[in-house]
Parts: sequence; structure tokens; C-alpha cells
Amino acid sequence: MSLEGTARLRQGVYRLLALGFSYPSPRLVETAAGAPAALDAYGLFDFSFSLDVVEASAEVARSSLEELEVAYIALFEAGLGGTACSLFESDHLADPRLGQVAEVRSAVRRTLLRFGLTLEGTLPDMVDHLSTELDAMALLCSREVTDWETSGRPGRSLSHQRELFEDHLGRWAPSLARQVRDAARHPAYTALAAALAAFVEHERQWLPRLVETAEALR
Amino acid sequence: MTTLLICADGWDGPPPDLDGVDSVLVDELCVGSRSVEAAIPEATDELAVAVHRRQVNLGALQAGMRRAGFDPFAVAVVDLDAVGTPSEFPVAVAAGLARARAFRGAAPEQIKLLPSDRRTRRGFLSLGAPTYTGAPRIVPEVCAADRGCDLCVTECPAGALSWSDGRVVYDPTSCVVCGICLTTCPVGAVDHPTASPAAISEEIAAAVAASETTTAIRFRCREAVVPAEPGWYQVEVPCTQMLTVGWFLAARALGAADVDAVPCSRGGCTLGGDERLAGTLADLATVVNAVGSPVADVQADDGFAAAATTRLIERFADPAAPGWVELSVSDVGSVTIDPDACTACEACATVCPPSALLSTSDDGVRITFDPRMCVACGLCVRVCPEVDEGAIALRRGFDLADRRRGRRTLRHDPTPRCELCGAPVAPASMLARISELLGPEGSATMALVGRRCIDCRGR
Repeated sequence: MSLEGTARLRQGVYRLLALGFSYPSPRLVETAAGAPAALDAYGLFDFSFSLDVVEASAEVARSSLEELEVAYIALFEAGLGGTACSLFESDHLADPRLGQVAEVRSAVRRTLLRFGLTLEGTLPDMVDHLSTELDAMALLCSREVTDWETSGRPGRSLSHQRELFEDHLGRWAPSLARQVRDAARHPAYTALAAALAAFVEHERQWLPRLVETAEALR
Repeated sequence: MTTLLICADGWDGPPPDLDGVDSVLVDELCVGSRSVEAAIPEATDELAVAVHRRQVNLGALQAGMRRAGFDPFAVAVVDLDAVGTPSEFPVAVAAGLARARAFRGAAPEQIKLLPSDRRTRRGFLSLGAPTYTGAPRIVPEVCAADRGCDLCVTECPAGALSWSDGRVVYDPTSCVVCGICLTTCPVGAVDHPTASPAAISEEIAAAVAASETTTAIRFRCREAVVPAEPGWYQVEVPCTQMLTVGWFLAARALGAADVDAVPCSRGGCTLGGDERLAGTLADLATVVNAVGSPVADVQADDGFAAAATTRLIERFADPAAPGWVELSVSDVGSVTIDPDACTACEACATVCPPSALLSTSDDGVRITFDPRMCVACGLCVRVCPEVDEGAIALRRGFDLADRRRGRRTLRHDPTPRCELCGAPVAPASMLARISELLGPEGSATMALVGRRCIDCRGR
């Protein structure tokens, strides 16, 4: 299991999950259908989260786009007095009465800017969306892959991943995953939530090990 | 269909003919992940593997199981090196399957990545396949931390647990998965996916049932490599320091001819030495001498569950009462209260996790104690504000005749009533103690405090 291959695998899982928690598109269903085979090339089954990723891919792939759209809206967009499950970090970590929503969002934005990542288009309020953070992690993994290819070292991308994960994604994604699981609106989203929880918990243990290995290379 | 994959390395003859199990010999099963997937028939819905534990590449084996669609925690693993004789192989398979069937799933945070000591030949640029084990989880709905219990926190050898604001906080990074929290918890609030009391109970029961002769049970640390011995079936536990007298008694109650335990072989346990296990084994000998062997109607589930030792002793038959039996480390005890020093503040009863101590306030404060529920945790002694005066004491051990008496009153203190509303004021001895502490200067205050309840003092 090469470290470069591991980075590719993690990039793929982050990307799959980012798509899974974005508004459903034909690309999601298509990607999910081919994900297990594609990720297997980079050692998917070496890891404990593999069964959850396979299950989530299968559930998404066997769902129609319309079903996914209905479930997505019911879970993440509609609801009296707020959505059933919010996909925004600020809804999980900030106390709106203390004006912390803007604080959380700017913290995410600052972190991404420091890593040279900016949001495209006109959706600045998406900065602390789950898919944005997952996508950012995927991009950082992609940089790690490039670093391995060009210099044989992971560069700073690994420590950036660890920082983004420990300061943001890793702090709230598990609670969101529990909410989605408890809401149990659609098997695809229940399975995606299980995959998110399994992968994030694994990253919590795996990232420090990767950083330690990278430091040993210096 | 149940499929058993057997490592062909060192296996003589054809695959064994086992009831309800399709056995397949697989070359290099211990080293290659792809061989697992390729060898499993499509109709397989339950999987077992028989491997050489000393040689197996566990990470690769687990990867192979996942590739074939099986959660490694739900797969029975039989250690070929731990099987005493060929006739004992079916016993090991039956027991392994029973334990695997008892697996009820693991939450993501209960899957612990084990430290990697395996580097591949390519060195730092690659890693061996990771290996995982089950990790504990505190079930908040059951945990007694909100009543002040912190037994798991004080017993955890790795400092992975802390008590904060009425709840136990678990740090998975520090956890060494020793399982001590599992057997320390007096209310059964620790969930362990791969070493649950139910799974181990099922494993032992199956080993005993499948054996044509008598089977003895040897608890083995997951790190220990123990040579096979005919007549002894090895049960893997996270760490032998977690074992209590109750677990050994439960194994006996399930029909084990004998019981013992082997700690890890790393030159002494890294979790603080083997003293704890030695103390438990000494206590076990004392208990067995005192009460004899467990009787048939003892339910092993009670033994492996929380407060194991005291539950099993409580359910023993009626041997000649041996008087007081002193123990050194075990989770069974008896509490006494000195009425001359106790102020009936009820702190002991409030904190007692298994409710061995209870307080009621009918005609005053009444503190009762049931030795059959005491786990000798010592929290009652720790919280007693008058412990220096000798108000409360705990002895580790038991008296069968005393236990049969059941719950009894240890302390009864009348409570004066409020002269205005009739509500209880405070226990008389507590008022006396406060008066003593305040001295003559507090006599005016006490004259009011002693006559009126807290709501009426301002009137």
C-alpha cells in the first residue's frame, strides 16, 4: 500500500462524499456506480470504512435521481423552523445568539484562503457547507498526490489536511452523520451518512499516522 | 451457508467434515488477501477462517474479508496453533462461530486502528495494510457518571477516560483497548464490540457443548502467544488485567472443567504489571475454597455482566456458611456505618452506582445496604465527609450468611420537623455536628436552623 496510492484513495472517497452531500445530479449516480471498482485500485478494502463506502455507492447507484432529490430536499433543505439536518458547520458549532455563525464561516474561509483555496461562483455562503469542506480535503489530497509524484514527499499538503480536518470537518461531521442516520429518510442517505461517519472517524486516527510517516521522511 | 477457510500450511489430509460447515483448504491463507476472496463460494453467508495466529498478516486477511463483503469483526477466527489435538478442532470452530454470531456491530468510533509495526520492503514510502480492533464506548443512557461515579476513570491505566460535568469523556487516541473499563463499570455502561460479555459467554458455552470430553477455559491476552494444550480452550480477551473473579466463576458455571489466564508475553504487562491478575486469581482461589463450585442453575450471563462477582456469589447454593471471607482485589464487599460518626448526609447512598446503599426519608433518614449488590468500588468511602471520623468503612470480601439476610438498615436518624410547615429540617445528627463545629458562637443560629426548614428560615 503506497502512500501515494493512499492519497489517491482518500481523494476519491472525499470526492464521492462531497458529491453525495451536494444536490443530487446524474454525475453522482454515475460516480457512485463506478466508485468501488475505481477505489479498489488504490487499496479500498485495506481500510475499515470500505464496506460502508461500497454500501453507500450501491444504495446511491440503485436510486433514481428523482428519489434522491426528494430525499435531499426533505433532509437538508425543507422544514418548518429549520432543516431536519443542516449541512453547514456553523449550524452545528456556532451559537447564533452569540453571533458565532459569521465567526465560524470566516474561520473556514480564512483556513481555505491560507491553503490557496477559494470558492468559485457566487455562493460565498456555501463556505462552511459539508460538500465544500469535503471537496477542499479532496483538493488537498490531490496536491499530496502531485507532491508524491514530483518530489517523492508529501510537502505541506498533509499538514494542511490535518489542520482543516481537526479544526473543522472532524469536529462536526460525526454529529451530522448521526442526525441523518436518525432521520432515516432514504436508504441512500442513511448509507452515505454511515460512510461519512466511518471515513471521518478513520481519518481522525489515520491522518496523524500519515503526518508522522511524512515527518520521518524529512 | 457457513464457509470455513483453513490455511493449508501444515494441514495434513483433506478438509475436515464439520456439521453445517463447508471447509476449504487455502494455500497461503495467512499471507495473501486475494486468496480469501477467491476461495469463498458465492452462497456463503457466514465466514470462519482457521489460521496460524503467529504468522498471519492480519491486515491483509481483514482486507480480504472486506473484499468478499464480510465485516472482519463478524468473522470467526480460529487459531490453528492453539488447538490442542485434531479432535478439538471442531470445538474451536463451534466456539469461534458462536462468538462471531454474537457480534452486534460496531459504531465508527469503536473501530480502533492498531499501531503499525509492520513496514514493507519499500520502507517509508509504503505501509502495511492497517489492522483494527474493537474499542469501548460509554453508553451515556446507562452510565452513572451523573451520580458521581468515576470508577472507569480511576481504573483506566491509559488515562483515556475523564470525568467532566457529570459525564465520562472518552479519548480514543489514548485508549489501549485493555477492556478494564468494561469489567470495572458497575452498571454495564461500557459497550465493547469484540469482547462483549454476551459474545464471550456464547463462545465458552459453545466450546463446552461441542467438546466430547471436559474442556477447561484459558483466558488469553490478545497479545499473548500461548502454546496449545490438550483439554484447554483459549478465549481471547483484550487484556487479562480486565478479568474479574466473576468472569472465571461464570466460565465454571458454563461447565468449564477448570479456568486460568495467561497474560501477554511481552516481558510483563505494559498496563501496570501482572499484580492485578495475580490478585484476582488469589481471590478466585479463596472464593472457590469458601463456596465450592458453582451450581448448575447459575446463569453465566449474570456472571459476565456488570457486577459479575457479587451476582454469582449471591446465586451460589447454600454451602455451610464459612463466616467472613476476606478478598484482596475483587469487586465484592461489605459496608459498615458508625452511627456515632455518621451525620446521615446520604452522600454515600446518592453516589453508590449499583444502589447497594440506598437512602429513604420516611420517619427520618434511613440508609440501607444490600451486600449482594455491593461491588466494593469504594465511592461511598471517598465521598463521605466524615470518613476521617470513621463514619463509613468498606471491607473487600463477603459472608454468605450475611448476604442471605439481604438488605438491612445501617443507619436511621430521626429528622426534626419544621415548626412552621412541618417539613423535615435536617437529620438530627447532622444538626448536632454543625452545632459542634460552630461552637458556642453559633448557638443562636442553630436555635433557628434546628427548628425551621430551609424555606421557612427567612420568615
